[in-house]
Amino acid sequence: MGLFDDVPLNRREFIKAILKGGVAVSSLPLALKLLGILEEPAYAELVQKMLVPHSRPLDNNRVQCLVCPFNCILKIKERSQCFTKQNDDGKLFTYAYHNPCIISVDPVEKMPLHHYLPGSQTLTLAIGGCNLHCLYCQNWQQSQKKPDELKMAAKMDKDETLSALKKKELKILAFNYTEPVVMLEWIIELSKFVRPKGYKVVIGTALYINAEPLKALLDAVDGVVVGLKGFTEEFYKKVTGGTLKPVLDGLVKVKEEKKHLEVVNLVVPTYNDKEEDIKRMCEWFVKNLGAETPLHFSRFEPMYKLQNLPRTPLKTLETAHKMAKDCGIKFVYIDNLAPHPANDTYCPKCNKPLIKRVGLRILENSLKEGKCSQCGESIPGVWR
Amino acid sequence: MRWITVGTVFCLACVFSFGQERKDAPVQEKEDLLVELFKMAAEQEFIREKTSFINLINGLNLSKEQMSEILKVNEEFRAEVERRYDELKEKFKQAKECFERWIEIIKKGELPEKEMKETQMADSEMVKIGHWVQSLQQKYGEHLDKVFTDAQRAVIDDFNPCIVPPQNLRDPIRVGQASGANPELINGLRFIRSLNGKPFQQRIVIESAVQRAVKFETELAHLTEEEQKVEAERIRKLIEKACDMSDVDFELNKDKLAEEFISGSAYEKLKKLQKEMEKIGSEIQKIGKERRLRNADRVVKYFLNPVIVEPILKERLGSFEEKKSSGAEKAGQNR
Ligand SMILES: [Zn+2]
Repeated sequence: MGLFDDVPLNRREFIKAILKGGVAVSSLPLALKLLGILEEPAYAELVQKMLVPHSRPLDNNRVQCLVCPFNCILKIKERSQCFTKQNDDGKLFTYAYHNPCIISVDPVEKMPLHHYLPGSQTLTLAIGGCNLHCLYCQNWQQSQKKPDELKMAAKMDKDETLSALKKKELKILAFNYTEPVVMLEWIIELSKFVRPKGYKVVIGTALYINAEPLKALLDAVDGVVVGLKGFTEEFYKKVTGGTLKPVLDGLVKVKEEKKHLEVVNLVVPTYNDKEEDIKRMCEWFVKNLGAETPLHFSRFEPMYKLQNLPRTPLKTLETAHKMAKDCGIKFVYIDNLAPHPANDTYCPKCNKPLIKRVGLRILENSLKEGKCSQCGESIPGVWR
Repeated sequence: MRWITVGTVFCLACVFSFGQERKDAPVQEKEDLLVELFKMAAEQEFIREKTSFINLINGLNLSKEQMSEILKVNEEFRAEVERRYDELKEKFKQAKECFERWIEIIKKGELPEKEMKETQMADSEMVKIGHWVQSLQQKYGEHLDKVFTDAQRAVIDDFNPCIVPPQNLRDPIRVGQASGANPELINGLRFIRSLNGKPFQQRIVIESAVQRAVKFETELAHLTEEEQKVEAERIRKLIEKACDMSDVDFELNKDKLAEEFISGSAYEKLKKLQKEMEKIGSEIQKIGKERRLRNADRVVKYFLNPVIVEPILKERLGSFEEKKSSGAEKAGQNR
């Protein structure tokens, strides 16, 4: 035991103790508000809006959104169920435009992308809103809100975005945490500007989207992480509010368009952990997406409306991992549980561990120009 | 390096005292109160070590095979030490008698040649035992070191003994999760930035935050008045830097700012220094050995301790078996 081990304190407590003072988030703002020091900022006034091309006018000034399978029909001043679109004077506008509530610099592994420039960092942006309403959403404070209700972190138009990428010397622009599908128009605008300059664009999405907008989205991105949330219509309906079929169709489309694809399945105890469903999912996966597409099984953490459930047991994740391998999927990962051997990338031919990870951190990368350093087997992915 | 030897001998004594029934220990009629408290403190320390060990293995996701292997190494280590129990016990007894005689002699200010030689001999016997234990630790440490994966070793290297597991073990940052490390601190800085148009109010809040932080650190790391001034200035400058940034720059650099805020604190600096000292210590011990063994020290510290390791791993392995026999359907309910 060392000098400071006895001090009953860790970093978090250190921060808390400091914050108990002048910076307290809970009590002080309220007190200052009462004193008239703080005013509620009018975020809505700062927000720009943009016409939604994937829409059509209907009678009586109604308008239909055609972005996702919900195909919302909206009366004047009505909002879409994804919180971002509104019928203003008979036209469909998106309020998810230039106004991210999240701007952060993250490891690409946090997407999670394991076969895409490992160890790189991304400029990650997110605007409030989502077309699905998953009971376990870990970013519900942002995803289940109107974008103009949330504080804008900073205005991000194409110039600001490029400047941020340059300042932090980042190569990848990412859209994650909420749902890229609901900020499609903005993504396309930024992407058209930065991709010709050599930057990559990646998204983390539930892929609940109609075919035509999906084509437009895929044209704008280089890599896609898809949360395949379960493998039954019942699960999708009960937990996400959506349906499974459009997601599966979308996945096939991503593959057809030859975009880099990784798939994440969050394993929720008692909801989607049935072995027969996982097996069916893996069989469909190999047949439709190929054995070389990476598949991640992610550990569920009690969250949002599913706080009554336990975390996913290690054994469940290991069983799912084994089933996927048995189905022939070559790159299967376990996420949100580290350290674990299934955090690492192995050569499918000689089984050498090629990229060793602990959590989101790369410990060692022995890939040589995308090939196994031991047997020379080519490993699918974007490596430089 | 006498201090190492004394430490390992003490370790050995612990193995004996917890591992064996010591019926022959003399019982004093009335205990010295201070001695009694020391004993209670030692007991407390033992419990802390045990708690800390459980936190560590919870964070490592050890496989059944790894647990069995660690258990096996500990049992072999124990057996090898216990094989010499009678002989060592006799040696400890003789040394104790010899040292007690020596105390009486030096109290009188005498240094007789014969007794001095006897005492030196007894002392060197103790040193030899210490070296022997060290060699065992080296040998079994090498075995143990091979049990862990590189990722597990990275966790062991970062681990600090704890009663409540730290954030990174308890609730690590997840994929697809928006918030990163230090969200409270970043929100605090955001709040101060929101007062940018109100310099007077902002100053009050900044000074209050600076004072609290310095007061807190002073309690923790006993800062001198001069150090307090320096620390206050450092924190003030950091907050001001955060306030002067544009919205985008703040968002791009918030994690770095938070890290600077924390890692620059006196408390964190001292902790870092402590870790460096530990590293230097292990370097000294391992000079000439292959690089990998640097980790073995920490592995030995946490995992070569039969008194703590054996019962805990036996229990875990037992529950592995139970789970297996109670069927897979229950697995979904386990936490
Ligand atoms: Zn290979």
